[in-house]
Amino acid sequence: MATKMMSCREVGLRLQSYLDGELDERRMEQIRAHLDVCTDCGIEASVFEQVKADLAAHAPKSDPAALDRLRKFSEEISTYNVD
Amino acid sequence: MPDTTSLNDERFAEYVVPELDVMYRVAQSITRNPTDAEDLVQDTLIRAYRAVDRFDGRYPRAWLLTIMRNAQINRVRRKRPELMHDPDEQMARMADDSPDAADAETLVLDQEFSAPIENALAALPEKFRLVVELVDLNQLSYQEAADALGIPVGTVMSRLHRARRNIRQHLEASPEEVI
Repeated sequence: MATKMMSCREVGLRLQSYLDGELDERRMEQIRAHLDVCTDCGIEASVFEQVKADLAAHAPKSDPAALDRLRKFSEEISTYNVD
Repeated sequence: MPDTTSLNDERFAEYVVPELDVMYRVAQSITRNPTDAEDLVQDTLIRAYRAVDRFDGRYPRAWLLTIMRNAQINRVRRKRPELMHDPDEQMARMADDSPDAADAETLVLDQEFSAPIENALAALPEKFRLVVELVDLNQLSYQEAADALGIPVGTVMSRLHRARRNIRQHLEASPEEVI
């Protein structure tokens, strides 16, 4: 049985969660189907996908020296008095 | 038969050590200071080691982020007891202290050379910036971000979605700054 098409308003309310993969599979499929045929919502989704991609590209890298110190701390943690 | 210490060491190596990188990045977002971030992760590791024998093994990242949040609340309480009256405010102002002179200089330089997207992020109020950093930069799920900040998932969603709209408006208002 064909699923009822979501309205633009319903898609707008769930678009961010969709882009984050935080919806159940049925909702994800409903929004995918809407974006395939709706130009305005498709553009809206593309804009926010770009914002997300730009943010992800600016993720800070961990300082390798700090991570090495934390790994060493972890390896030796049972020798510290942690009780 | 293995003793308790070696069992705890095994569980710690299995559940905690693989999350070190995520823990450090989240701690950097929360404290806004590399040295404080490292101290916060060490505090979290000690607390996790003490509790690992009671951990059920499910969702270690969520478990560790909750421990980190509690550790940070205690750190803030020790340094700034006046911030502890409003539980939401305390998370929004988790950055321990105002930057010192060297940090201020770095901030100015960062501002001058940073990309428009970073300026847009920096322009967000602290509690909105934090959820964007945790979800979009550090790739946490909504639930993990909620655990790290001690707020409901619905609040993570509303802050994140509003923050992204603000970022978009900021970028659109600066057309000369091409991403």
